[in-house]
Amino acid sequence: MRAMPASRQLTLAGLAALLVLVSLVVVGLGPIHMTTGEAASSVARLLTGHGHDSGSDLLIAAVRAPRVLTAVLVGAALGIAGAAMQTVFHNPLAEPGITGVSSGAAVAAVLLIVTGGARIPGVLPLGAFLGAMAVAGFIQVFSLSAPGRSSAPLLLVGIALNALLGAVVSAVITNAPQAEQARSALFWLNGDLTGRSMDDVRMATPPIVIGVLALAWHTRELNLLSLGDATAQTSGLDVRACTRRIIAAAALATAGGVAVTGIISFVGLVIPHIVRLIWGGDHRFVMPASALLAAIFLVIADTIARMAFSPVSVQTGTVTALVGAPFLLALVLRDGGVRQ
Amino acid sequence: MSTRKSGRGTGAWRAARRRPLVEIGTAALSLHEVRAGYGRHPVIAGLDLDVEPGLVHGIIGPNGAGKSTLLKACLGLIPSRGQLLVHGHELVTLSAVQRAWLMSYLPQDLTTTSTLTGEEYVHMGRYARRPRFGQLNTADEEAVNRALDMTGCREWASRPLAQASGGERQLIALARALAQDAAILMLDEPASALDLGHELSVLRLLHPWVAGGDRPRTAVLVLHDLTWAARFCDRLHLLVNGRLIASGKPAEVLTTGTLRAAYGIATAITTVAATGTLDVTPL
Repeated sequence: MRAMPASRQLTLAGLAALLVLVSLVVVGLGPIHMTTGEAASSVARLLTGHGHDSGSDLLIAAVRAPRVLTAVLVGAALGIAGAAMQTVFHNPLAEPGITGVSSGAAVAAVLLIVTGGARIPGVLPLGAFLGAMAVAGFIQVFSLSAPGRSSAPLLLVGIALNALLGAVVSAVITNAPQAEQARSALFWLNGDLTGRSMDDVRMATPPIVIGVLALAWHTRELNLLSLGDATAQTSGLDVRACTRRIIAAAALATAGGVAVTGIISFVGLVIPHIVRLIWGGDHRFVMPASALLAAIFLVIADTIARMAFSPVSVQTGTVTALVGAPFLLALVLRDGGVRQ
Repeated sequence: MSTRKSGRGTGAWRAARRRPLVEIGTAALSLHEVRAGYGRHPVIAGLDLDVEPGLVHGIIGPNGAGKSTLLKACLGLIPSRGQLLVHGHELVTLSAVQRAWLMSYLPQDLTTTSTLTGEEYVHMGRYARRPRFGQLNTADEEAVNRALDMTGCREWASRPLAQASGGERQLIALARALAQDAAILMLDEPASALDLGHELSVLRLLHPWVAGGDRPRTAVLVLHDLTWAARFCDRLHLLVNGRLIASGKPAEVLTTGTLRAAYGIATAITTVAATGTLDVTPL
């Protein structure tokens, strides 16, 4: 394939610039309002280590910047992982948690919330991450022993695991000794960025960065996989090993995100579709563009969640679902129309 | 026969990937007691077959005879037992890249979720020959352009594949297989979605392609039309219930007796004056 056209490279640069701009605008929004220029100055002071003890600098450093950074990281992880999963499984309805990774995190998180372990600082995200990675490990072991080269058995295992772990989550919540614990568990399951700190950012960064970079490394292979497993294999790609690597990288990125925000739905499903609809299916573009656009989307969705319904605070996951569900419905209806 | 493996991570790897990774042996394919199938049910049972290089080979037989399964087994897409040599190399010892140097494949099922354009699709045929960060070189461009010209896809190759008709998709997939420039071209019903004119064009390009390489080339195709098979194949291999019941030149394989045994029907076999090849008419 030829080098990516300059127009596409410019589009990626434009999306990156838009992400920075949106983040700066959003950092200034809130009950204590700042202009984008003031927010940019404040962020610049903080980045260069010259932050003041003024209210605005403290507010940005302790509250708004961690929240926006978390949204950027998690959005990018979900966007790029969703794009990869849709191609690996040849399924337009695949999303980052399709292999059961998010459900693994959910079981661990809900158990920690209900048993009270989540009260210890840092335990909830760490436990959720480990829960997700346990499922990712199971998928890897299964893929080593699964017959054939197709990714279809892994998809079925993911569906089964999601159903099984979903049942465990429901059972744990239903039998929670206190109603408040059940409410907290449901809150986590819906995904939210309220109160995220730099500790969360620090925890999420390594798995997300490693996972995203590993996925970005496989853009050429994803292009080949999009032609079908048989064509990819006979073109020189070890489909089975490559699929395993991509699923592991997507699981790592997703686990890093889910651990600090809970399950944020639809971002990883919808954004890659939008990218493909507008710009086509070259994964050298689709992967970074999905990461950038998903990050922008999540930053905006989180801002809507915390501001649009004030004084009532709506969860970030609720907003992404409110936008994403109609899109998914339209997608299904459109595909159904095509088949007819 | 030596097999040169690529050394990943070394400076030489990029250059090595541009050179043939495997030597070309005498027989294109050599199968001995090969068993292959899906799950626990073998479709091919104890098959012996030698595919002579430099010729167009047709695999014929009734539905369910194991024609597509035979191709998939040779390509390593499904597990097989027995001895399966590709240009003298044990199939199981070859890496995916080495296999791609030796064999390219046009599958029967061309369902794809890809939103790549036709040209981008054909470029993917050069995957095994290009280092990760290498750009298309002259040989890559020539192979892609030649394949687009041979299949007549150039005019609409810039359109997304999702907008292509079934026939156009089959032609572009054939172009991708040709651009791969492997020693053996494996085609599973290459003209099943094509109109008569395009079907003829595709079958006509096989002999020029086989004769055109700087190393021995071989085409192996599965097809149902026995008259086309007689006209465009140098050798035919007739499969029934996973076993080879006849193999040789078209006139040796296409007899009323073998066709009755294979298809359970009576046929009239005549020579077409215009082409000098056999015509098979079911009676």
